[in-house]
Amino acid sequence: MTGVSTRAFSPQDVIIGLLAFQKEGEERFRADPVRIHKAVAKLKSDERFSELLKGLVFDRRDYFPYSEYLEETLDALQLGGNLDRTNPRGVYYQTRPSLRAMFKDEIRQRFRQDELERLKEASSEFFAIVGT
Amino acid sequence: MTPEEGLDRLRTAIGQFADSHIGQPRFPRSNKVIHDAVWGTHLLHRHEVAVLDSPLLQRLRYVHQTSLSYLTYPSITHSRFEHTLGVLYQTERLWRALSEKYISKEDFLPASLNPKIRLAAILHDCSHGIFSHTSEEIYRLFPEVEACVGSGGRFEGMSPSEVLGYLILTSPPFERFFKELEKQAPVLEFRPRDIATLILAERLDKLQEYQTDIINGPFDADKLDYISRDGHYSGLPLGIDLDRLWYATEVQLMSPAQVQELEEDHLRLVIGRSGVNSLEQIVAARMNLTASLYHHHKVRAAECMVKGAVEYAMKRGLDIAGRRVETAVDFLWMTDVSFLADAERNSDSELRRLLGNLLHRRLLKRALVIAGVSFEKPDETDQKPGIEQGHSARYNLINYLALLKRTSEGTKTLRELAEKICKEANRPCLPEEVWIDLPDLPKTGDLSRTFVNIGTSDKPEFKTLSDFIPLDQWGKQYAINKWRGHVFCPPECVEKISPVARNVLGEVFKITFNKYAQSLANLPPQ
Repeated sequence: MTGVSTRAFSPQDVIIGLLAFQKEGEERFRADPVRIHKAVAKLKSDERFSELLKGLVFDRRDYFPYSEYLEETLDALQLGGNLDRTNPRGVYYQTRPSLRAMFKDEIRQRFRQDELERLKEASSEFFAIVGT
Repeated sequence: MTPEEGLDRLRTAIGQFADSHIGQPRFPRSNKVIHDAVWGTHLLHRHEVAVLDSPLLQRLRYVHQTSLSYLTYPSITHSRFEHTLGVLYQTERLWRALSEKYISKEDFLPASLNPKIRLAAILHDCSHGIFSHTSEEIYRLFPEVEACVGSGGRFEGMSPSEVLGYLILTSPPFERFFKELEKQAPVLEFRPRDIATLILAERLDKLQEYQTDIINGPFDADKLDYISRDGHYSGLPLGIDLDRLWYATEVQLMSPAQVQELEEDHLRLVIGRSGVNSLEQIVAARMNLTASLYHHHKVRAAECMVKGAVEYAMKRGLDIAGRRVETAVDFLWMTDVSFLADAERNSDSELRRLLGNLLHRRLLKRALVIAGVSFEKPDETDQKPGIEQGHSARYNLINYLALLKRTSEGTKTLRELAEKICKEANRPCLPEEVWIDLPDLPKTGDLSRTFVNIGTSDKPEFKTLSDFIPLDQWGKQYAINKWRGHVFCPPECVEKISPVARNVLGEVFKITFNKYAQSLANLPPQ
């Protein structure tokens, strides 16, 4: 028995989880929209993670899959001060301590234990694709 | 509902609509010349006039391009029909610029391609419902549409209006219409499905992608027209150097060796380095139009009133503009004219009143402003370790704003909140007259899809436009400093609704609104 989730999680919770599970001590990743959208779309099409990411819709017509929802979530995290785009060249995103705190305090309990383990695995693959 | 079930339902409804709105082509005796106020004179071939003369296109004369913004900017009354002609003009200009540049490369710009692209331009908006994107905002949340463009289907992530257009152009009535067209226009060496695919931007053949880019791409003929046209008719001064843009447009073969994100060769429309400034002007113009026109609070209030009237009719099973709204396609049967005419002829007196308010410009007013500056940052004592002061609250707010509208469930939550506000204010008006309006933030996705040739024509090297234009950062600044959501209600209810909205939303978002929540709406502070 892997525990019971208290509430349904949203695709946004999954995206925050992907970022919050970044290896301790690492806080930045490449702010390349093509890589980021491609990485999440790839995770969604992987059967290990498809259930976690089923709520994300991708427009696959152009040369990279693009999700408005993912874009808006990254915007929301920046506007909330949980994610920074490091200047002056904006090459990297930097997660703020508040992002991990928010996940730990507010979001984590929406997932079952097995889902959290899968999320952690997905996170590691996400950062491997996107680059840090 | 599965994507296939959603698609079937839409296809059936579109079939009935197409049966009634397409019919037989009526050819004029000769080509026609049409004069447009923005771009001047252009020539239309006989078969193009026959398409424009079909009820499918003629109805666009009665669909306003910018919804109800004419209630705020009096001269912006242009229609989707005028925009259609403008897109045709822009398509032709792009075509001519490319033909002159690649005069020796007949292989990818054969003369026979021109009629297909021109017809796609004429038909690209044939599926617009009343008040353009306002009706799309309503029907995109209908179950058949959500299923059709949702996860896992062929049309995943696409615009509902583009999907409806695709279904119209691949419907049996349009196929029959096209066969008749071909009899008198032998230049049409393609199938209706080819036009439909261009409009939908499916990009199935990567070596024909430049054709799609002209009709539905990052700097397509549609954008070149609507930005210029909306600016012209609103009276907002926008400077765009289209001459330079046409001149700098190139068709380039891009390989994975040149752009590592590509998985195969693509033949695409790209912009030469000298055209970057023109594209930057377009991006700036779009931001300017968004801030001054599309997001103007009066424009947004009027759009909420359309939604309110539709919601009122749907909840009670009433006809509106002569139809019971049951599927997305019902909005294609109406026009802005027939919708507003119901202000005088609908059998329900409340619905007549709601529509009459629109007709006579008795608009909803702001009862509360939701903006980056309109709420207090929480006390430090409320903060959890690691969460910076103010950030959690702002995150919760923006979280709601950005994502609630995306799904029918989220929209339902917002409507329930509006109803709660109305109820707690002792119902001074109908719930359909209270709206929490949250405009979309500016999108930046186009920039990563627009390629700039930083090399030469013969030895191209590519970057994306996002490397040149910091729209991502502009977007953030816009969201922080200029973006505003609102609670709207009838003018006579503002006094009652405003404090209740403040409390209800404050509780939901876990924030305390400050004086700006009222003062930005010219209301006395509470």
